[in-house]
Amino acid sequence: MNNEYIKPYQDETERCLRCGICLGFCPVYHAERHEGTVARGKIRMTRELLEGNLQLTPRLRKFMDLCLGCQACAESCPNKIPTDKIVAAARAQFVKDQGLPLVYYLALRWGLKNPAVMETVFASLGLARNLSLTKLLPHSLKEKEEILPPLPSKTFWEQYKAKPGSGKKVAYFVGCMTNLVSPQVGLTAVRMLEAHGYEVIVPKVYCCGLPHYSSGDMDTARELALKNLDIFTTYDVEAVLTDCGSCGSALREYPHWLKDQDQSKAQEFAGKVRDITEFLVNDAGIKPGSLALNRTVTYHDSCHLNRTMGVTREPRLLLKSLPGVEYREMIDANRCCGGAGTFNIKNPEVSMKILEHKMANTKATGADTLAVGCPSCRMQLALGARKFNVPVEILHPVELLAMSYGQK
Amino acid sequence: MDSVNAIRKLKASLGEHKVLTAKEDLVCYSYDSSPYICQPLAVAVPEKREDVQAILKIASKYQTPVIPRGGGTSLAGGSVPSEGSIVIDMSRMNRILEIDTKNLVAVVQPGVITADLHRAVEAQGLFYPPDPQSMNMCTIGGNIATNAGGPRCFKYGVTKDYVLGLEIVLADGRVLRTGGKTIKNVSGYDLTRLFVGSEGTLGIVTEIILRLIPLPQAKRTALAIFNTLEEGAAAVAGIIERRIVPTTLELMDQDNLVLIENAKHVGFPTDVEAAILIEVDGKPREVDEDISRIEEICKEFGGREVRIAQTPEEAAALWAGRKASFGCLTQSTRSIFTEDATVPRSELVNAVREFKALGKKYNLRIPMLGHTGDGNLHPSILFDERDSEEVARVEKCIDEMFAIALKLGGTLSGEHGIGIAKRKYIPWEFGETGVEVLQNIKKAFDPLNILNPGKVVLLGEDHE
Repeated sequence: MNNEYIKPYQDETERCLRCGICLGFCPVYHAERHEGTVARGKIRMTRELLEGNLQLTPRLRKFMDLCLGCQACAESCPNKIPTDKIVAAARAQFVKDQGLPLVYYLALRWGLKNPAVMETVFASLGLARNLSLTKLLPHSLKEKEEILPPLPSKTFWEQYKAKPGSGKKVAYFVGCMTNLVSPQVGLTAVRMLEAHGYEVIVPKVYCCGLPHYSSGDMDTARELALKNLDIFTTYDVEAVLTDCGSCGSALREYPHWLKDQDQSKAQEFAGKVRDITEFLVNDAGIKPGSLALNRTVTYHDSCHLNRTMGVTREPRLLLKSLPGVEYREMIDANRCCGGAGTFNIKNPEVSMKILEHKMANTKATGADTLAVGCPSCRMQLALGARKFNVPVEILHPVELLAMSYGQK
Repeated sequence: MDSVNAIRKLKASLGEHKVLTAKEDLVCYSYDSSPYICQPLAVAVPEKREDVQAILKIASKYQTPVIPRGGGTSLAGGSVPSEGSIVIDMSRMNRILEIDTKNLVAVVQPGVITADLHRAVEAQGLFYPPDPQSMNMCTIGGNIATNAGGPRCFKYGVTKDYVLGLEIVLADGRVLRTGGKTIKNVSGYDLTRLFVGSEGTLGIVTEIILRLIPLPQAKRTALAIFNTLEEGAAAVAGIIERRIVPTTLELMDQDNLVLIENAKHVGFPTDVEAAILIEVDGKPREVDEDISRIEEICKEFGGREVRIAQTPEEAAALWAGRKASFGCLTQSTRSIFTEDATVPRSELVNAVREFKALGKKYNLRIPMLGHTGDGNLHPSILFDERDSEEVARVEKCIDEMFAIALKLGGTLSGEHGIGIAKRKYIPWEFGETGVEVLQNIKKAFDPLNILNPGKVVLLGEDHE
């Protein structure tokens, strides 16, 4: 045990002055009110781990798991200590020294690593639901299964048809959730890019690697990053676009993941990655359609889209530019919804407390539409709308843009 | 002291889930925002008054020290455990029990976060003024323990001015109730006030009745810039003499302005000795009049420039620099001591000058913020805790700082509390008789010395 993953953060942990400002920003701390759930406690535990006073125990693992990765702490920290990266390093250390639990091993190294396996798993779940077999699941699993929204009958790839064009070329990164859970967002985004005069190349890609990075499986995260880099170097495109804040943030972080290797390819690629709304507003020059939507819209900031990609202004500008849209900002729009990838599956009770807060703020706006730029948030918010009876339709900003063109 | 049996009994009485003893948990509760660190033996997490009673009965029986804790943001070490102690984390008792709009009072549990109370009462057009700058993470219980203040307190008073009644669990587990929902109450000794500011050394507060006032309708903000500290102080005195009472009069000294401007580029001047952020609140017409009179007065006393915010966004921009101050300090240093020596308003300039001279004498950088309305200064000593020679200089500097504050007719602590950091100076402020009275009060409530021992006033052992 030589703590190779966390050692580089030793100086950062010693720079924590314990002022506690992070306590005011951490959604998990607000729900749990235990010092081990917030950055100040995690930094202290990491420091004592490095000093040999703590070991990689299940209790420590639990505290490191109780982190959304939302980065609200890092953003608020006067010393800018990157607690999200320290937590990721601690998780990687656990995996390095103790291996992955079987369920994670199967999910990360077999399921999420192979697109075909994922498609089969989701198709089976769809079939099981149609046959009402999910009613037979034990209670604990049933709750987790309920987090997934109704599944589409066809994936992105079963519906997508490439269109040859002559405009400037951009590439589109179709993430796992876009392909399997909200294919209409990817299809709509591609159509909107075409409407703005672009030729869109949609390569078959691997998972972005974020679930692996978040679970501490750095080997697989790097492997997937390298595979995706290989795919994209074959295309000469102006930009690489996503409709998923989480995928986008992972692609942007490839240079950090690959920091021990030659980074030139990763850096060039990361420099091209843009969120779809960012690209439409800043590069394409957004052209809204003419049909009035007659909707009241509010917006939830995905943490990855906001804090890793720095995209907050563009989706709001897009929404406000649409005819017949009354935009209403919600309180704490940039506070995590509690979804956070698999956080909601691992920590359902904490996740629901955080979600309740988000849904109350949504409800207070009186909006009939909740826009969001990340499929993982979208699943969580859809669950929140059902669970807390908030009558909103949850859509990606590009879907609303498409509606102004009369497309659904 | 039989802590092992105390913990065993606690687990049996409260349930395992309310008594944490894993090494990781102990690390998490070994500190607050002060430089002190000490691991407790256990962390008890009460969810109701009965839990607190059970904890104190067991602590008394086994003579085990208990350390009450709210948000853990004490700058004086008030919530750092002592050897062999049990931390009582009050943060799960965090319900707002009642907002009584007829009597204008709120009834709350101690673990409520101060800013959450602000939001809840403001939603009903009411106002709880005390605004410690840690309000997003500190608790009402902690505010009562330290009698917390904040920038608004010059106009509105401090925590003690809003506490009408308390429910307290005494050292032996009995429950004491003081005060009530009435504004007036002169029955017996004022026990409520005795407990406010007692830093958890006399009992543990489990319920609080707070006074609320109507929420002011409007605010205006200005930044006044002065070439010299004397001009700034004279302008503040001038404003108050003309019967304007601003909510805040926040002084930033040159060192602070330079640190903030270099890091944030908010447009602060770096060639002046003082900038004062002034806010007034009240009815819309009143605040408009007040802010223009403040501008006139500042100019009359030699103000170089007065920037008045015309919109809430402009006001937020003026505040942004002040709010970034702490971050700008921490980024420029490895360690930091933020003190809160307080002097009569008329002595503020002398205090700033003398503290600056101390910085020169001990070769330390000491940027200063101050609430000029009430003479509450926050000198921040920047140093490196790994440099033992420098730490020794810091300690000498702080000794002299407190001697100066007392010489000028002031006090050791305006709002942070005594905790561990300032207990050695207590005899300087109180004298022999004063210390004896403090000790007698402590003994009357806590004969076994189990309640946050070693804080505020020492028993048994001699004062250092």
